[in-house]
Amino acid sequence: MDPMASIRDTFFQECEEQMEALEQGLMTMEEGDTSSETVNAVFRAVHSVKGGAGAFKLTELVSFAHAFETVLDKIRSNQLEPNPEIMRLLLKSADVLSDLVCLCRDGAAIDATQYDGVLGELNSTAEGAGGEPEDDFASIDFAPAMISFDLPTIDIPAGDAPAFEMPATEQVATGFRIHFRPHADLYRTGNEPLLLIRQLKSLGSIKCTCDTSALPKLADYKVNESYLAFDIELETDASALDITQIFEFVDGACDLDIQPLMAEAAGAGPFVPPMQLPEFDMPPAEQLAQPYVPVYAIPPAAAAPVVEIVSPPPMAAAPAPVPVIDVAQKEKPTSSGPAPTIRVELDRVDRLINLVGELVINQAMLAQRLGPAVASSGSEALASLEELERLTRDLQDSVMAIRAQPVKSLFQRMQRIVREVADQTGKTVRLRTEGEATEVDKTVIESLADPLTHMIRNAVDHGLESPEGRASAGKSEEGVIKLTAAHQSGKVVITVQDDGAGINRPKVLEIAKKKNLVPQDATFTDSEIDNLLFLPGFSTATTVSAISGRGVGMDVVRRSIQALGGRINISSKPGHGSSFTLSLPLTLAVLDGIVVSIAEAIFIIPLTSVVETLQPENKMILDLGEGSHAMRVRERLVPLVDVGQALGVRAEPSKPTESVAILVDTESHSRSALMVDRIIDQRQVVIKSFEHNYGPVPGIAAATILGDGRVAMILDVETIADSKQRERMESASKDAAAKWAKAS
Amino acid sequence: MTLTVLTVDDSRTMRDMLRLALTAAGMNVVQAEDGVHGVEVLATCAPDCIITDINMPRMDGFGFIEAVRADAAKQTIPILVLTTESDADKKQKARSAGATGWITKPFEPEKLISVVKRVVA
Amino acid sequence: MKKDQANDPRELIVFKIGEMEFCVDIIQVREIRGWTPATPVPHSPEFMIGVINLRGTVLPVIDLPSRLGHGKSVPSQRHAVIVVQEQDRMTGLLVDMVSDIISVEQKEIHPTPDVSSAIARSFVSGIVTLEGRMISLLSLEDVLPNLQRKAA
Repeated sequence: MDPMASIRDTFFQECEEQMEALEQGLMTMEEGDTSSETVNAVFRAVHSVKGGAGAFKLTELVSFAHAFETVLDKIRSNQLEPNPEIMRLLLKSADVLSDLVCLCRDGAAIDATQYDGVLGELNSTAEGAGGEPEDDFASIDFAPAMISFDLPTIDIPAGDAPAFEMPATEQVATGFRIHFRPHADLYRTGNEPLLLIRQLKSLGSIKCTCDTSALPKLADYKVNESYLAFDIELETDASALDITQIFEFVDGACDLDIQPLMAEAAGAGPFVPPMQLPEFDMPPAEQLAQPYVPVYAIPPAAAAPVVEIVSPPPMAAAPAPVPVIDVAQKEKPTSSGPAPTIRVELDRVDRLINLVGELVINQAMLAQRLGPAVASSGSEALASLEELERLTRDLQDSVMAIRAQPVKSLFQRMQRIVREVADQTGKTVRLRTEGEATEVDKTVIESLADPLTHMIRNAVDHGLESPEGRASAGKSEEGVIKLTAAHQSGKVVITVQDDGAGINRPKVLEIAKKKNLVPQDATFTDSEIDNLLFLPGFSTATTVSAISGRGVGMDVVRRSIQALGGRINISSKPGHGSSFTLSLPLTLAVLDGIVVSIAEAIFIIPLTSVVETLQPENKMILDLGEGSHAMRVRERLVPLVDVGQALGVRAEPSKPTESVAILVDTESHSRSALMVDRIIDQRQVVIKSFEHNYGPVPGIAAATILGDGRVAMILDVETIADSKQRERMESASKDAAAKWAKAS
Repeated sequence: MTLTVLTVDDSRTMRDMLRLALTAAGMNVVQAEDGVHGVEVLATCAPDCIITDINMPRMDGFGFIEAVRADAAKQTIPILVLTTESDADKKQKARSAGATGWITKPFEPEKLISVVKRVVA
Repeated sequence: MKKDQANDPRELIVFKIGEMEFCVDIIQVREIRGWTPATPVPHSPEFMIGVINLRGTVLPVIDLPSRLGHGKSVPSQRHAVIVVQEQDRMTGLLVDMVSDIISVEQKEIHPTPDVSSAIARSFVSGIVTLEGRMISLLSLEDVLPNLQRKAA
């Protein structure tokens, strides 16, 4: 890969980290900690982004970052107080910066009007603060002291100057005479006169003399003082500016005097004015009768002997070449004693995880094939097999933990969402987080971003009352949303809780009935009503708000969570608020399931959904006509789902009494009984993605590889169990053929 | 003779870019992430030149330069600071701490190399 | 890919479906294997045989003869499966047999003639003429399903 492209990737990766650090730092500042350490960290984050952006010529990013950095600089040098208004500006700026980084990374066009306002605010804030206004990139640094030559002007009547006689000797500037006296400081900064003189040499030819006039007697000689000066005659076409540039690093650390060098030139000729000098007029011919005397001093004839510049002894004896240590591999330790870390490419981790997944499958295959033989040969072999299984499982757990990351970055993103939505809705909201350090598989974190965003938006937009509403309910103006994460019995539990008005149950029921999502005369428990929110097509907003009403309903959220193998629950207390609880598996890769056979094909039903298994008997079965049946289970009537038919793998309907019914609970707490031919066993299976190579299949969540190497499908219980979704699935399967069809 | 340059910068991007430019010119590169790290690294190697950023956590560029100059044996190693154009006061401060010269950001690789060559014997 | 590479010779794997010869660029071919029984996928079209386990990856296998309109195959040990990769997804193509690997210059690949059937035009991106043979160059992106990637 082109090295610059690789560094560009590094840059954007680093920007992500910097944005996190920036957000973190700003949050800390908002909570009242404006110590220099915190402010500096914030400054550095923006400064770092600016630096890299400059290297890649991302001008809009650079100029915004610069304005941002300027304000932060004022704050850290105590010229600006970070009051709440300023903090708001900083947070907004962080959001803009983050957006610009993303646009730059994706190579998208940047619309300056989007952030002009913020940029303007930053600029005016910086100007209003103490100290001198910074010039954007104006170089007002060590400008070389320009040497001016004051010369009297001599009038010459125009047109009256014949080819005048040249003086016998004429002066032509061929270079410069430089007097250079280093101060002690010069040496202390690691500068070296030899190098400077060498650079002069590169401009032309030089004659260098050492001026030892300041050298004291040996007794008075101080080792750290500087006593030597150098007189250099440089013949060159370069300008005085070029010369002062050579000395730019040592300006102020030396005495430097640059004069033009006038050399004697033989013969007459047209007068050539010396370089760099302002033009001066020739005296009228009469005045030239006198020998022409230049008005600047001619240095005395060189009296001191010309001294060859001898290289000074080597500064420090260079040790034997040191092997290059690329310390960039080391992670930056935190100030509180580092946990040693190592940076590994995600690809490698993924490969490792795949291999371990294979190992698990293989171990299962081994157990299955050897099982019968081992069982008869003795308990030792059996013990070994069991030990192997245990080790494999442990290995898998450890490997999965490698990809585990704290949810902190995800929660931080939510802070921004809250800010935005609060702004848009005119509400004051605070997001409290707990359990940021809880670790979750990286892929889970990424998949959680969208659903969580939606829930948070909902909470702010619909969950929390308006400021007036809150006031009249006796609540504080600031609404609070609590976002927590924790490990609980082998799962990750994430809650989103708001202290708003809670779910308006009557309204929800009304809307559900109006949209025909539920039968008109049914009664529901409170909890069942709450769960109606998860029905597709449901939305309580009478006006589809721009914020949450983009057609992304809670059903999509639930679907995303289920796709991760998790569950989501909702609970609410009127007047007090609502709470969503997500529970996710720690690792995505494995699933406990019941292995069943349907029409000679093997399927897996995830155990999380299963309530119990039953053998239907005639007296339990109710024929609903048109091939549907229901089953009576302890006073409740539960629909019987012919899975084989639903999936289209069986032409003839199954007979309930010849099937096994698996009672499943759906997220909406409704029950269904899935009919399968027989149950084979229950085991843990490794989940293999289906979608990657093929695409989504309605009714199928994923695939797995069985002990004998065959592929088996893992059922999507929600879709199959729910009748409406089943219908949709059936029509989707007609589309499946369509997606393959080519326009003829 | 191959020159060895120590680069001190907390930005991975900047470290990578410096390394790219310096190694392309045939130099060896040793890296450190901030001032503290830079001092540690210096204990085990003697670079011909040091390039350091100013804004770094734990110990910034100024602190680092002072720490280097405080060591008598390291008085003469040229130290270049990375600055952006407008940092006139920073350059002065760096100079007082003992910096030899500066490289402006963003830098052209050739410019970087020429400045390094200017200050290295 | 550099522009010059467009003029480099291409290596093509030739296979047979019935009496007709087809080929596919070797760059897209991951491996060639024999037939193993596949697990059918619910709601899938006729020419989708099912999925097999390719060393831990779930690989869909397409009945290529059926896809190209030649009627459904009865897969057996005599068939071959060509595993291809297009973008980042892998698929298996069931063919009657793999016959050849040829190297052709870009200029030996001609556009599909107008007189070809509708199917030919949909799935074929060119014709290679070689020693009197007419080998159709398969257009993988047209043969494989349009993946509905997760909409953001």
